[in-house]
Amino acid sequence: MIRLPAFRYDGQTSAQQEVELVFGVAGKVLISGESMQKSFQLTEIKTKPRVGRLRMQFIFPDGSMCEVEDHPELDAVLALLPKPSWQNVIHKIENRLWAIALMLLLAVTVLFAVIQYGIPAGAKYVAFKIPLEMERQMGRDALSLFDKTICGPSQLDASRKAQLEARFLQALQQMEPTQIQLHFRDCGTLGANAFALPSGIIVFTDAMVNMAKNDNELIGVLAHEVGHVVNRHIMRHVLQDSVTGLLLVLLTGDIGSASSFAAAIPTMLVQAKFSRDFETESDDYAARFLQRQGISPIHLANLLQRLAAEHGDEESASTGFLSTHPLTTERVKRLNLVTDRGGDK
Amino acid sequence: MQANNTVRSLPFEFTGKTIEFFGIWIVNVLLIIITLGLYLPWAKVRTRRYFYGNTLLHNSPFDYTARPVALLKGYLIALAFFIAYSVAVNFYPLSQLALMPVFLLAFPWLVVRSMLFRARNTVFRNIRFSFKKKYTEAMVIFAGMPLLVPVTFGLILPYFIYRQKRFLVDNSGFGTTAFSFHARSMQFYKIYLILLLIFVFSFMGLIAAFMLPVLQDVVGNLPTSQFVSQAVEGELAFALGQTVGIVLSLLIYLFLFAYLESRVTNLVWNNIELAGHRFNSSLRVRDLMWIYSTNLMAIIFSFGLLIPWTKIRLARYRMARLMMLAVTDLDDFVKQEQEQVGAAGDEIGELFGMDIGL
Repeated sequence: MIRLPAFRYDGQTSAQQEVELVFGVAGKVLISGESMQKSFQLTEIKTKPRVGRLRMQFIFPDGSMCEVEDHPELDAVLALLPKPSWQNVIHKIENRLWAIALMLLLAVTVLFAVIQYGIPAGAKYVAFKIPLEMERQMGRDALSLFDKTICGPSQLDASRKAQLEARFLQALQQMEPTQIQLHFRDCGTLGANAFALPSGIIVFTDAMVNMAKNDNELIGVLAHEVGHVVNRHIMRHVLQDSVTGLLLVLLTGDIGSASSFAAAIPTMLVQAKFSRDFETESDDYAARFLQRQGISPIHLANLLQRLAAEHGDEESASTGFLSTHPLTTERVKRLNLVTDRGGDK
Repeated sequence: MQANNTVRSLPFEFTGKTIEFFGIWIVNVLLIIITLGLYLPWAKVRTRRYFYGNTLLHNSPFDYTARPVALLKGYLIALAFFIAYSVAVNFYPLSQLALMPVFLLAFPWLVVRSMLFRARNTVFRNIRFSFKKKYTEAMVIFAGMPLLVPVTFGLILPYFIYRQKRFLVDNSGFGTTAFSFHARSMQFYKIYLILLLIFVFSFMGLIAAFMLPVLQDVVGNLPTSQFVSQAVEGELAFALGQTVGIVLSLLIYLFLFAYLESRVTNLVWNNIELAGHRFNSSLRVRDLMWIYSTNLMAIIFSFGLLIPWTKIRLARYRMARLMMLAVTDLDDFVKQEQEQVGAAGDEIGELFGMDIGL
């Protein structure tokens, strides 16, 4: 016979009553208090999955509930009751230090694998299933946003533009078939730059065209941007960023609190890493294309270095992790590597 | 039984332990990841039960009784909405504008459903809390008033916050006993006025911190015989000024946050009445500011591993600063018959980042 001191709440009022639960009389439990005696079958008692060291609750069919503090004989009582929830296995894990350590190790490994490989692979799979056509409206909106804010019509003279367009079209025909739309714009504050927008829109700024010492450099830039389009980087970026953001917010808990402010930092780091990986993938695409065309990737490297000099590049390790592009020195090194290999042939 | 007119202070207390919660948290994290989020409802229920169950009033714990399966249903519905919304906004950025009125109309409904779900699943001494479904009033407060905020240049905002809190408190009940709210809108205006003043003054200070290095930079760049070294110094000062500026603005942000949080929380709790019982909350700005800033640092430098510690710590502080001023013992509240409530409203609200509650 096991006697447990308990508080009883009848479920009708908030009154608290000190009682004793007596277990072990012919499969029954006796609730005995100052002015009441009640008896139930053990099989009628419901318990809740255990969490931490919360007081154990015994719920009876009449809607009353008894609360029991941690007690040496509690486990013996629980063994008499109907099969406990599978969640009690989780409770056991949560309460053993070695199990917690193991879970920690597992969680870190799995989280790393999911972010490093799982999400990018999933996003890639899904992105290639979505036709480029779906991005049409998104691309149009993005371009008109640029036009309304920082970009104006191109100031390049007509003959230079026509010549360049012809050269680009010729290059595009050698690439994989995609619907590329070329645009030239004068975007003062952006400086020398080129960017790919959704649905295969590629924009060159006038400053970029003027900075190039020869057309091969610009072909290199074009190939890099086409690399973004062909590899569906924008769609993959959208997918990867939203899934990672959602995952990290889910893990760190509630959305509107100060801790999610802290969750923003790892999210930014991970998203910047995704972006750098895409840039590298595009550089590789450009290098391969240039080589097939018999143009040395060194041209693209030269332009990158000139760009870095103009933009006063952030060549410091401290900003490296937050940067959306790999360090210029790294990009140039990688391009030169391709050039060297090309030279061996 | 207490004699009439004697008021007793009954303490709230939080008894959660960091190590214990760490175990719960890390198992949740692992299971959420490997089940691709499907475990989330179970994780949420375990976490809430841990926090509710460790919150004691006069040595009686609260309890959270939502069933994970109910939460899962709500969560899947919410997720479907969220994905549809994300896709729409990403592919058609302008659709955000079209969806605005839909959100505005859905919001009051979500508030009511969410409060209903939470109240019904909060239990104290085997008696459930309750919430009245006043959809029309919710529509006026949560859809009508936000529209007036820009029109009145924000002047209506404190009144809007006041009506929100009043709505949430007045419609809540414990068993058959209703809560009532005694704060006046002027008290909210006072808090927001001081907030505005602090904001303006600290912002001016911040501009000074930013502008000083910029001026130095301009001076340093004047063509003199040693312009190279001076320019470098100027750049250094600029970089330094920027760093100081960022740290300062973060501190100001935390201060404003702590100020608003503590003042509004205290004001609301100190004006809640439940059958003659009152409450006293005495959160202090400096304590909250210290807790928030050190929590933030702890999370960043531990790569998130100290998140359980920060949550336990905050809960412990909040409960240590809250008490009930009881006029009788707590035995006389009576059960109210209630229907089942789905969790969809609560889950949709949470996924879209709605922050409701007291």
